[in-house]
Amino acid sequence: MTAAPETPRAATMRARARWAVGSHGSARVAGAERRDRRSLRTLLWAVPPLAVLTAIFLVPLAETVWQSVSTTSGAFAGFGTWSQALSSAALGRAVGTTLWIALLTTCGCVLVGTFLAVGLSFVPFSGSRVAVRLLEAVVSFPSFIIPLAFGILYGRAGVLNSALAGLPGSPHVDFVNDLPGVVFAEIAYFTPFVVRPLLAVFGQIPRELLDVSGSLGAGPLMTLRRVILPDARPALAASAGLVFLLAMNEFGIIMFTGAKNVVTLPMLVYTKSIVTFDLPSAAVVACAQLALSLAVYGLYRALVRRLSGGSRAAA
Amino acid sequence: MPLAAVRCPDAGEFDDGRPPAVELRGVSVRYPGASAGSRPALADLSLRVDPGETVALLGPSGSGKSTALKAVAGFEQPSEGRVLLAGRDVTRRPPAERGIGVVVQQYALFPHLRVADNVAYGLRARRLPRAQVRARVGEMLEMVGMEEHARKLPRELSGGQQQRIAIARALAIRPDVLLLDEPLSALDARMRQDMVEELARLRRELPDVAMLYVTHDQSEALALADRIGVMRDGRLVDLGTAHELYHRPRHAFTASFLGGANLLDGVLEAPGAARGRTTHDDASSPELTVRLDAGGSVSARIGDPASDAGASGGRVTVAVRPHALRMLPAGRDANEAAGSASGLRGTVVSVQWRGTGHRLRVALGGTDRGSAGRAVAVDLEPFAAVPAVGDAVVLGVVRGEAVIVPRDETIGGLRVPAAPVRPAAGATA
Amino acid sequence: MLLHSPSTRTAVKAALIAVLALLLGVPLLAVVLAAFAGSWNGVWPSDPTFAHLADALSADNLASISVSLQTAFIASIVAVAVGAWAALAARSAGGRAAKAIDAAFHLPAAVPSVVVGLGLLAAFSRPPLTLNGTATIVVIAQTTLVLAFSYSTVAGAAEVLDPALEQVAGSLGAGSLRVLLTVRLPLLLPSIGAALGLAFALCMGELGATIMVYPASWRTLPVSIFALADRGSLFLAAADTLVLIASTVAVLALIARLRGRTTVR
Repeated sequence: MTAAPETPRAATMRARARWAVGSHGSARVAGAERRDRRSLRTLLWAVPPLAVLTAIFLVPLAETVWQSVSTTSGAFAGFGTWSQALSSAALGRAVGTTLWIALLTTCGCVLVGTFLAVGLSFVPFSGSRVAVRLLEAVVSFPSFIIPLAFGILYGRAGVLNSALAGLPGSPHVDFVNDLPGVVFAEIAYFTPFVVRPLLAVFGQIPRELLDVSGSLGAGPLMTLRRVILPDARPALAASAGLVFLLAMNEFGIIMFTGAKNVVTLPMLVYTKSIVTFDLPSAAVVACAQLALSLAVYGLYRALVRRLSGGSRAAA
Repeated sequence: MPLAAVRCPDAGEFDDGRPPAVELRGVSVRYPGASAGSRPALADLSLRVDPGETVALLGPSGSGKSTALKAVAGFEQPSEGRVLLAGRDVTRRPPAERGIGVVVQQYALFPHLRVADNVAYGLRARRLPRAQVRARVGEMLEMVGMEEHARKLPRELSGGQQQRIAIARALAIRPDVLLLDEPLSALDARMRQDMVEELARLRRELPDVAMLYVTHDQSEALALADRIGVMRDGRLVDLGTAHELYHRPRHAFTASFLGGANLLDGVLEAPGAARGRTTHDDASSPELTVRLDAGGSVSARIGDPASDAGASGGRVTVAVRPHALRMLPAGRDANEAAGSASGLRGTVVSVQWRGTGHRLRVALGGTDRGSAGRAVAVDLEPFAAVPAVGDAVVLGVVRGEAVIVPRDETIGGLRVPAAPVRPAAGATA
Repeated sequence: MLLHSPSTRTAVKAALIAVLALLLGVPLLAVVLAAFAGSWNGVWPSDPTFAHLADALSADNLASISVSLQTAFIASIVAVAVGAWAALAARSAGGRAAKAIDAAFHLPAAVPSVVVGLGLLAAFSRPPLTLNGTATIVVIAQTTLVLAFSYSTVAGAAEVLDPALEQVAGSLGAGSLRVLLTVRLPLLLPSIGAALGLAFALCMGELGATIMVYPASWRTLPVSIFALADRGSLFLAAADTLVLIASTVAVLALIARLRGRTTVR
């Protein structure tokens, strides 16, 4: 199995791509023909992977957009579903919740991640290497392990509550199945995405820089603020952008938390399509989510390009 | 390994009653994680630097000289001993509270701060008023001749310019002590020469600042330092003025590291003549005769009269610098010609043109052509006749230039033993 | 080196350890302990038991494990093959074409898994290609989701590949296919191995798109774990999660060993 079967649309696009490349080649003068043929051949090499991408990713996305404006039989149905969905409060609320959770998660990850990275880099302790390895491993664990653990530990019938029940006044914690639970779980899971790039940056800072800063009279806080953090700013901005995007798109953690009143866009897509089988509405929500995600992703790419390009140009 | 008995013991009191600017008392540094039995990075260093004095720590890499500097700056915590600045014990104080100017090898300029902000860094850490900071930065940049580069970022400057900024930054906080850790090693040869002159000028402009200058380059140490400490394997092996160390090394390592002396092993003849005559004057030092293991004999002075090198029949080493060796015309009586050596016969194994003259390598004691590594280096005088490789030659020593030092088998390199060098450690009795 | 005062250093170290423990240590430990807990009504679990683990390895669950492994295997291999191909094509194309390929293959990382799942449902629920209800659609879903990571891992390595090596190979008379097989691929092998490991691990834990498209006959382990957790069987879910992580780590170790053997040093 080398490629997924092509849809007719993908085949058309591939043919169109071939045609575009071909006409481009023939427009050149004869002297450049050989070089052109070679560049044509290298471009042709890109066609098979692009065809696969089109078939399994771009076409389904296009179909989703189409579904939001079509009937179940495949005919154009107008923008009724759109106006209906856009006027409903649910979509607006979901957008707000999604962005709010992503923002809280990003802030939490940046704070915790910066603290961990600075500590692990500059105040090493005997277990710090194990901690770094663990942080790296967690990224490849399934995301739902954190909400699962939160449920066991802090859930209504969890360890913490049964321990607290024995205390006078029987205090009670109940945050897991609500927004704080989601945010804490996402912070725990996404923090390594901030720590890892920061560790790489901090590993590059020569020790002499910190020593000299100290000998010039700077205390640890001034050294942190004036020497360490300025160096980490591009990496920090990039990883914050990545965490925001991942948190916006996160589904497994919210699903596992079982927070019924935390309805983000992915959750809304899931309920509309799988639970209530309202596929056109689900498609509208998916389009909204898609637009939002792509916008954030575009900003993230631009940010990364500017930060890395800026430092490279200045270097 | 011989202990460093300091040649000029630091007096406790000084003329003007001021305490030394820097004082190390028995400082050892052992890096965390190093095994207990291993050699410490710095062992039992005692050293004083007076206000206005420049002391250079000279030694090969890994000799502990940089560690000594880091202990003074507070970058490393001594495992034993105490560090005093102007009589105040700062052993447990962080670098920020020591008020020392530090210039390191790679300059360590803050890459994201402009030149002026780099220089202002220490002043801002002291929360000086803005106007005062600006005035002081201007003053410092003017001192190092970098006024027009104030708005540049460090990466826009050349190595030498970065070095000037690093010095300006260190001096901006008006330190009483300036530490320089191999400050010129990242520069090319010409730039280094310019900077040595520049540093000598700064030296004159800052008569009260004590400097500790760490380097592996003897010419920098000779040019800048009032006193030089020679370091090896974490220990201070010799300490004295440049003149003392150069002309009367009391250790084979000092002789070979400072001036690249040839080390010729031999046995002392006419023992006892030196006893009771411990004058520091070169001219009146007694000449003793040493029978060399490689054949022939040399008359030489004892480097440090206090050492026991002059013991009867002692196995000693004679240190002779390459420029003090002469090639004698064949057939003439060696003793008459050079006065202080006889029978130093050898074979030329290589001839190297070095611009100012020729350097020969001569394998002593026979025709052993494969022993270039054990050959002595000879610098010919500018217009001397140049022999060819393979020629048999007779060498003489300029009178007064051969110095007897205790034998130390642990030094490789330029020595000429009778037998191949044994990689013996701690073989000295 | 940053903190010189021993008391501050101790305080910061304590805070570090506390944050690490709260963030990762305690949750991971809790899952492990819960997997072996008969009951957990105090601070520590009681009645240690292997019953949950035995349950997790029962026939029903073994089927889920096998489904997960198969899906992740095929999806990650396809994704890495396509991603590596695209990365190499982008590198040899250069210029604007490379930028376009780069942007296209990074795109799946930006799209939420649920939307990818919905898209597949929309595209493959009717002729000409009805994949809805088959295992294939699950494989496609996971392939799509890890394609971007596979691409960027290999592309990152290809970018820092010294072009002089290829030029030298070319100057020695090697054709482009030979250069590909004898120079580029061997040099990229470590990154391809890394991409394979990452893709496999991500596939094993994938829930969002899978839950949208999976048929009852092809239920992956995360879906089973979700069903358990949803029902409140947290200890069983924890045991299943342990099994999931264990099998992932085992495969990753295998990939690492193969990489170690093939890497040129």
